[in-house]
Amino acid sequence: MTNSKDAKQRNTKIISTGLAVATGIGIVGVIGFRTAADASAQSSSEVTNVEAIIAEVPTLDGYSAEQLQAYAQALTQEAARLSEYRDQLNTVAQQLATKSGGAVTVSSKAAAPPKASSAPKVAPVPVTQKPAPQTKSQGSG
Amino acid sequence: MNTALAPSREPSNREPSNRGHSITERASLAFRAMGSPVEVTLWGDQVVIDQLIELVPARMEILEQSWSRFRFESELSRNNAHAGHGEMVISDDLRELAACMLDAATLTQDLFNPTMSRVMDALGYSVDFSKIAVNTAAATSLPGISSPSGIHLQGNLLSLESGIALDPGALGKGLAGDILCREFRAAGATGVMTNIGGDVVASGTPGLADSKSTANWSVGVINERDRNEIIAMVNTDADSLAVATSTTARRVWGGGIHHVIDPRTGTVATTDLVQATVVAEQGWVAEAFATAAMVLGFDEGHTFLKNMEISHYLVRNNGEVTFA
Repeated sequence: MTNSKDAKQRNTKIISTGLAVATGIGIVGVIGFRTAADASAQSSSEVTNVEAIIAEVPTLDGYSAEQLQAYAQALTQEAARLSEYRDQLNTVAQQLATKSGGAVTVSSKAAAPPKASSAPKVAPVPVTQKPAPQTKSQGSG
Repeated sequence: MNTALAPSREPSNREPSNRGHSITERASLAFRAMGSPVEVTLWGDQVVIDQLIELVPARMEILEQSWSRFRFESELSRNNAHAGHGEMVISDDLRELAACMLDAATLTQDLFNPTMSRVMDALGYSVDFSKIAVNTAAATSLPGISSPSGIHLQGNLLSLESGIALDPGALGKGLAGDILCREFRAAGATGVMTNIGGDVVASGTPGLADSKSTANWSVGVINERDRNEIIAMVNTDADSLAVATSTTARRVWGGGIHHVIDPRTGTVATTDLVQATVVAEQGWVAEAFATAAMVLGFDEGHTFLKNMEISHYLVRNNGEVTFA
């Protein structure tokens, strides 16, 4: 895992790139840059304003500049939360590494999508006897 | 979904198993997220798993805030609202979900279609299922089906063609389980089991990573028509296992509307299956094929999954079963 500072810098760059792509030339200058740290320090009243902007129906031209700005802010906030979570994971991993005398880093990289043939060949085996109800059973769709 | 999981060698919380230089313990947490009950169990060093288990709800909340179609301010909802108006930068989490949805469509020959959001909305499933009134009526006409080819993903840039709105469906729960397993294993847990709305994903071993013991995961498949009954067991020594079930016996509203949509017709699937349980290495793959089987029905679904070499257990509405 990269360190927290690098991650925050990268996130900020991604946001600015996205706004430029999504809204055209010049919009970056209007919106400016926010760091992940700024976003995480945002007050709850500001968050409410962001939601109010996003609640507006997009125009025929898609999101307005304000809505895109709110999207960028929200994305930055979520990136900060994720960065904080990953820092905590890394801290735990380092504790274990120290204990066992090794070095561990937690990668944020997603695994490559598998193909269908990667499925384990484990066929469900029918149960002939009715076992006791399981407490862990769930239901959804 | 309807799977119950119990590792065959399950160390008690109070009775650590000392098989080497370290102690294997277990920590569990149950809560609600993504409109479903969530259970996560970690195995490993007690100090490690006690800290890791505390991070689970925060991680689930981050995923839900990115992926939920029921939160208007989620990243996915905002991208849906921007469809037809160019690309947007997205987070790594949404990128992974979008990539998996596209792969799922390819793997299932478009029987899993991630563009069903507007159809689901028109059918009345526009809010978390717990908030849907039983008598909610579907719209008299449904929007047309979009092709996944209208989803353009390049790195962290996502562009949706006009009219497309993403709905990961239960695939999101499967992928969430995959992510939790991957991240907590990387952080030091020797074994991870997640059960999100009945979709079970397990990784590693309930024992020590450096022990010579064999990991044995056993997942019981619950009968949707009699939820006190386990109708099949999935047992494996594999490191990773996912078991997902799609069913028409639950999440039903409006006098028989269910959540399985046939992308070929654009409306509720007329399937003779009440339950399709699929085994795979990853949760999102199992979910995609379970959905595909439900769409195809008993005979075609069995043939399709068998040809794809996907382990499964299907239950027809007359109680007939088939498996491979």
